[in-house]
Amino acid sequence: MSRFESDSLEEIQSWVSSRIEAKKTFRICGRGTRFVTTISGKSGADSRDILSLQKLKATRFFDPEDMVVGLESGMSIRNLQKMLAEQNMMLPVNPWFPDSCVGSLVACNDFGPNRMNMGGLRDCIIGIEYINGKGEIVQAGGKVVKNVSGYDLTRMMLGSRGGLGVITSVNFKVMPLPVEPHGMFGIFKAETWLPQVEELHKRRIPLDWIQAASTQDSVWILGLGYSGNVAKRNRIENEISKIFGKALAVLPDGESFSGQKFTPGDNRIEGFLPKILDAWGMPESYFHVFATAATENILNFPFEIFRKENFKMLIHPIGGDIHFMHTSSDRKEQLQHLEKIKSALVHPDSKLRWVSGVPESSFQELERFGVASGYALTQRLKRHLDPAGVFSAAYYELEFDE
Amino acid sequence: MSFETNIRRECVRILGKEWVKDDPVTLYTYRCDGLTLYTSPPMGVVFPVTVQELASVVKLFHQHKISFIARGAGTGLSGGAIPQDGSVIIEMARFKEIHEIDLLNRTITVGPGVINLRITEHVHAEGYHYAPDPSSQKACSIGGNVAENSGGPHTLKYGVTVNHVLGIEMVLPDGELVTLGGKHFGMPGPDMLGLVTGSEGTFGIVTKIICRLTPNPEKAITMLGIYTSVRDACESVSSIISHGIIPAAMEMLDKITISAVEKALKPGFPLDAEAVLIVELDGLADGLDAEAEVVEKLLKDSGATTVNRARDEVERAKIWRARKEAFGAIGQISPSYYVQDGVIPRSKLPEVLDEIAEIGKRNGLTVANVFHAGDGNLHPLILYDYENEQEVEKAHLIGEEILSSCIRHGGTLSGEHGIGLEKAEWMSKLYPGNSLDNMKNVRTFFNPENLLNPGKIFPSPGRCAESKSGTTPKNAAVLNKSKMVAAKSGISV
Repeated sequence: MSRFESDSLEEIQSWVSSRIEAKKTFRICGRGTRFVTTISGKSGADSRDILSLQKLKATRFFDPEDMVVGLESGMSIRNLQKMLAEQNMMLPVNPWFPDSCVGSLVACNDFGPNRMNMGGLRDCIIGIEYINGKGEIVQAGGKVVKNVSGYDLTRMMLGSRGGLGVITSVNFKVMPLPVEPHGMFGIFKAETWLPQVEELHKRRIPLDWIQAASTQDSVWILGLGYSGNVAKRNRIENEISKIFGKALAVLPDGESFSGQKFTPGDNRIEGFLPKILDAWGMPESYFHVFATAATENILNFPFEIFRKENFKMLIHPIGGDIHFMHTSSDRKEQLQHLEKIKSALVHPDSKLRWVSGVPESSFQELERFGVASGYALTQRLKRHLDPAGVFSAAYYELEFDE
Repeated sequence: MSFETNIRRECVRILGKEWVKDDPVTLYTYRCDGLTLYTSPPMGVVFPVTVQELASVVKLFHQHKISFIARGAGTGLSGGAIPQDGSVIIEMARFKEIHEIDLLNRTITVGPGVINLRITEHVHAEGYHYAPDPSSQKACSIGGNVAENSGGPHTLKYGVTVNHVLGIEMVLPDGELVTLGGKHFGMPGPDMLGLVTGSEGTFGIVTKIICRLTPNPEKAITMLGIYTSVRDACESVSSIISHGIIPAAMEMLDKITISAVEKALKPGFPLDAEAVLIVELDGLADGLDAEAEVVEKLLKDSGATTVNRARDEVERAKIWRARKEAFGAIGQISPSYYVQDGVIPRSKLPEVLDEIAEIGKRNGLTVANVFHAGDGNLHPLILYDYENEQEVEKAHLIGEEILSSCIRHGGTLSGEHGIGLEKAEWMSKLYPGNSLDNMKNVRTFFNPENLLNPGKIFPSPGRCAESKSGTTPKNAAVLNKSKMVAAKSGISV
């Protein structure tokens, strides 16, 4: 196994072309923050070459007035957000791994807590550059926020997990930072917050995010993020109080619960994500899958069963997802976990993705839960665009009848 | 041109006699869409009503290597539904079922023939709406919106069609039925749904669409900034955005358009203004007035001589009617118009608008402007006389110069109308050759024999010359009919 990295697009293109010519499969990684565990389990034994994009990290352009930015794939999300924050802007996608790079963010089509109000990456991406299955550099989309000139190859590459080409740069439209972000937080001993969140959803209160996390003490911490001027915030807090009573307390941006392990981060934009892994004290290797599901499925999900079996869960209940984590490293137990999760995902549109700790061989066992509708079409597209089969990505290798 | 006997017989067997048409009136009616400068009659028109019927006729055409096009309401403005080489038109208007409304998941599942505005009407009482609102929303179909990835005035805050479509069912050019997406966005794998949205009916024919529903804002405040210079109005746009405020809409009308809408609709816009800027804020009622005060100050600080607020829903509706029907109102001051759809970086608005005015002046035609200022999506309206061949030619030249300017300033060819037939030859000016080849390669994947909607999006030999001559039709008779339609056109965008 060899590893190649360069800060030169031409050198990377040349390396990819040589692999295509030799029909030699390789894997793509960014900064490696989730690489080992994402294609998890057998990375140590894998003989395929690795293309690292971590040195390809320049800013191609940043036009604050137009609120658009173009970055090479290896730029870390942390650095990007820092650069944007200096101009009072943000990319409204805060992933689980803040040190991962924009290329992997796009390849995995990540969302963040702010999806409720600001959408996910598919709502921010406006252009892309990638090396295709012929070794050519392809540019799609552009720098403007509205564009229907030709096919949307940008979105085709979004979520492609390195299977359709090597993403070398991406262009985003960015958003203003929310005005005075606040949060309301509370502790719940049981799943009583679920019908309350449903009621809030039905009342169409414009929140920025909702997150619930199970704690080590087998209780829940619920957070609701919102922003705006005083009058707007007062109204939102009032509406929330009508439903939750005094169960939730206001925490402005920049403050944390003192003495609490499960405190949200320093700001009210990111929800719990930055601190949650530390709070849980998860071992280095752990079972982690997440289900994307319709709101209906999440609001009626049997969380109690999983909480009592020591699953750690982080939930975005509206149009969102459930992260399931477990310290178990026993293969048999992990498969039982998978089965349990699958059987609770009753809505046909529910999908499972694994993040870490699930052996690659289990991919087949994820069956329809692991792939989107139109999967066979996606597989055919992969074969069409990567005839030499050099872009390695397990997502496309499943065999089953849809 | 009409169906060959055996094809007609098969179509009738599948659909019934009344749903297969190739009489002269039908062929004339379907010879163009909202872009009336190019016309070409189809071989015939078929009207399926079920997915099975649709798949059967598609398989029939595929088997006989007959090209075909799906058509919605025919309001498209880039010629995407104009048949090339006598393609058969598959009219999708009968797919107008509302399949399911699911308020908990905030979705509505509809047939592609459903009119855009009908979706909102179905859920408005429940407190929801379908956000993309092209100005043709009273007439355009949701299937056409998916094909073109349509926008509208409120896409500044809410996004375009691709941001509001969660799933589709689609018949591929060989008759295979596939589904993409579902009731939420979090689908794993490549965003195939995003790829298909905006593919201008060249990948497949959509038969069912899951649309995302957006909560109705509790309150909307609509302001009208009045300016003595277009440049000042552009400065206001930048000023608002740079203060971190994203209004629901920011729309600009210039002096010529103001004069047209005042003649046609009388919204009360001042005739001596060089431009008006419509700014709409929406959201929770609480706090919105305070936000409006900030915006009002920004408008005045950047050059608005007056800022009027709509006092009630009647006044608000009057302002929006003036904006949404502005294109039609142009008929009051010109026999016809040719609308462009370029996009530029928002910060380039002042210089590009100056250039557009200069291009019009140099070529001796008036160019009016009404556009989505917030996202830099221009809609220059080139006014010409359809009876004057020189003016028709000039209208095309001006359109091309405007597009050149958009590309030169880092913009693009289309923000919401699509490439279609109209701008196909321009694609090679926007994208490098291999990027274009990659798009073609993806088309080959979905549509290997190019039977579905051929001649669109990509340059093909001969197109350039046809465009320069000012018309695609090969004979004068068709051209004259085309002009008649152009004269009467009042499709708003």
